[in-house]
Amino acid sequence: MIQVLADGVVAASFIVLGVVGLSMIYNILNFPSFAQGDHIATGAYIALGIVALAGTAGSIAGLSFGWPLIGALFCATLLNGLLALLIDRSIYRQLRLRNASRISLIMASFGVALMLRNLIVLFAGHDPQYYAFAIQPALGIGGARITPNDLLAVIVTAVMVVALHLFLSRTTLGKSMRAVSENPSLARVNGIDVDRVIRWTWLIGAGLAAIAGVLLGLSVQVNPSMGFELLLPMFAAMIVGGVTSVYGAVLGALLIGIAEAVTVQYIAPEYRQAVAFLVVILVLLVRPQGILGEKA
Amino acid sequence: MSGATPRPAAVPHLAVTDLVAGYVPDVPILRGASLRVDDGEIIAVLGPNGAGKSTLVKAVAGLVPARSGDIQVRGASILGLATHKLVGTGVAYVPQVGNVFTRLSVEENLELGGLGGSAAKTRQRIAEMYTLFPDLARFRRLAAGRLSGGQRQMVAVARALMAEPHLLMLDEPSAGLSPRMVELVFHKLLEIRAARVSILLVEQNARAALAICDRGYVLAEGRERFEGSGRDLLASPEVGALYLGSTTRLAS
Amino acid sequence: MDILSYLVFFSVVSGIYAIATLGLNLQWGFTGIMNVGVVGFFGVGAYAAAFLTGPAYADAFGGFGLSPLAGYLGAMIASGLVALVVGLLTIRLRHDFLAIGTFGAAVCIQLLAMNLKPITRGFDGLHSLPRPFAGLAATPVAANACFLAMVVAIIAAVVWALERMVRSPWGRVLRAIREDEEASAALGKNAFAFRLQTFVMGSMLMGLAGALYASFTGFVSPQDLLPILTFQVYVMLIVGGSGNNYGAVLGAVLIWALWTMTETFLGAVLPAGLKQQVSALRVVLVGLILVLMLLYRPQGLLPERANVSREARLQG
Repeated sequence: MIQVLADGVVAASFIVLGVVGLSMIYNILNFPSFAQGDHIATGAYIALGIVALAGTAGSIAGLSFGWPLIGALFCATLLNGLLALLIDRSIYRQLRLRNASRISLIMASFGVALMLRNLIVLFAGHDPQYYAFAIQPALGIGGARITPNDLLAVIVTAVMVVALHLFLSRTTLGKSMRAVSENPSLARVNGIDVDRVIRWTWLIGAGLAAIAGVLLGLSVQVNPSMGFELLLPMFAAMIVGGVTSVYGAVLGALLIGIAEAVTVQYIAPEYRQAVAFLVVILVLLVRPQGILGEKA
Repeated sequence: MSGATPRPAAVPHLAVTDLVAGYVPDVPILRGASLRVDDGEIIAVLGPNGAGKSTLVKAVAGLVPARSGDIQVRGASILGLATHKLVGTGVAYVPQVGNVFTRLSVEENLELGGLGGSAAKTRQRIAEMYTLFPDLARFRRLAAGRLSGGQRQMVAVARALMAEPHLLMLDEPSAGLSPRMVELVFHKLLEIRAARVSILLVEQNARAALAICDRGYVLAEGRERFEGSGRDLLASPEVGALYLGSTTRLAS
Repeated sequence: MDILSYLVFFSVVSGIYAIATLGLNLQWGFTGIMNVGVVGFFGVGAYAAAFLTGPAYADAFGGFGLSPLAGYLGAMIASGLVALVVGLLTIRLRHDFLAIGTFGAAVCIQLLAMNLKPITRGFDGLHSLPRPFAGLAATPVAANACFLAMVVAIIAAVVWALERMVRSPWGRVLRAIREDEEASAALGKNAFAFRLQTFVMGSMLMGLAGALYASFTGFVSPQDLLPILTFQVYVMLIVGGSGNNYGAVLGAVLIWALWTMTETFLGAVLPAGLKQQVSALRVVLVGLILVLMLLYRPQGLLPERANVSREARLQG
């Protein structure tokens, strides 16, 4: 039971950072980006590339990575953000300028998703890859067994969530983002440069996705569809938590993670994504606005 | 009641000249409207629905594209200026609906109004707002969405004042408010004018607006039909006819 | 394969895609609802046909051995039912929820196909499905040609029916709902009911396409349920022209031609052993076409006809 909870928190960690970006993009840019999963993958692969250049992921104190990977993580976060920004400038922004419908944006993101995934295959092939090949013994913590990499994922994610909260509640940019989420027109009237906020949304959203990608890659493996497999759980987390709330998305991720862990333990690992979908259906039936969402 | 004598000629805070504007290129709502707000004035913009009152302030704010004509703030044209740069010119705008961030607290709403300044300046300004609007201080941590209509209106106006504008534009501040709240709001406007902020007031409630304004414009079909002092417009039978369909004066 | 048989084969497959594209056109082009799970309904249809018409397997469901025609009808009913359930849950909500909901449904359907081995045989798939004209025709080519004739007839019938429907009073209400929901709600039309109807009908067409595919190739497996199919159908519709049934068919033929040609071309130009890369490059290229069309010619090659302005349609 404890083990399932622990596994659930670990699973949630991989969803959280991606879904925060998804939620921000949804609220500020007004469409669900079907490419968010693949931004997770691109982040992981960029880091992989940098590690490959460095020759090794390094090793610190028994963890299966060291400074090279940490450096790669920082670089990947930045580069992934820039990649998303480039995609926005050349595609989504052009569509916005042409007053394209939300459906067009969704479709474009679907196209971007497939392009990113296949660009990865083009450059790095289909086969799974790893940052390091060290086999890690699981630690026992509070009655549950957890590998150091998984523990790291949980810790890093928790830290990032706290940082996110501070960002949204204390900084000007964070407050501006909340303002634009709710009412872009009023935000402009208040002197907020919405285009600038949009740029930062992509940088932060894809940056967080890169971190999620590296953590997932460390924990499991790096493969081209690693992000796409998270897409449905991320959407589920967002809907369950309430689409208007970033904090809701985090909460939703926790719930979906635990539901997934329960499924893996008691049903079958193959159905992880399906259970996310089931939870969404349940929530849509019982409380459509989600846990922290506002009634329409 | 207005009573300010006309000030000596100075650059008007706002000068709109022959403005043609509308959401859709071929369908202009404003068809060559002109008006002027001089220093220390409260200017009322009235007219039946569809006359273009809201469109006028929205066009000044850059939310509705202007097709031709000019808009000048203190002598400098702001035609085509991006909306988020408006605050920088010293003009603050309170929309009719969606004028507060309901998910943010009252204090956060005010902070967003004062984005341009330093943290210390913002804190000082917020303190000043709480003096001007004592009720708000009580609700500072409450989400703005949980306030009543009248309280939200106060938040909206206070937010607009945070940036120390020289011109405050309000779109139908009395909409949806009880008569008592309307009286309170309009009394506040006089206080604001006393603090050296000029006011452009778009209103549906013609009587209340004309009672406090220095001058007023009555728009019809996209341009100004009548212009005059508040007192004159109140007494005018033509204005009364426009509103009440008879020769009854508004002031009676 | 010689040219003739290749052409026949190619035409059948693009015809099958065309039927799915017509279904999407009904949903998105005419009604403005976004179904991101096209492959899911295609798959339901394919598997339903396989269950109904296939031989008895030792280790799977099915084996009713019915005629292919029964398979087609069963497929349409099955995909219609799935669409009904998904639609009831999501259509009354926002557009994006329908997109996410259909996406999720398709993922689940794929997972079920892959993992419910006692029923679907997983990756082994369901094989030896009866092909309609196999016994009748002298050669495989002739059989395929008969199949092509059947597909063409189906397409003609579907286009005829859709054109009639769209020009009918029912179709006018649909357009009104797509353009302006508030106005049409005020008129008392139940927007939800109309959207549900087209969603189900469009999904039934996709199911039919799946069933045709199953009976053409004689084999169905989870490999046929990859999201790439949804992507292909969308590109076909956008290139051909959404809101235009002839555009849907045209787009299907063009994009399928592009798809198969790039494989041949790239396969010849790039060194062997790079097959993965060829497929990947193909997707990147077609993805680029999708994005470019959305940016520069969103109305497609054959724009929507009749009284609706392009701008209004894009605002859907």
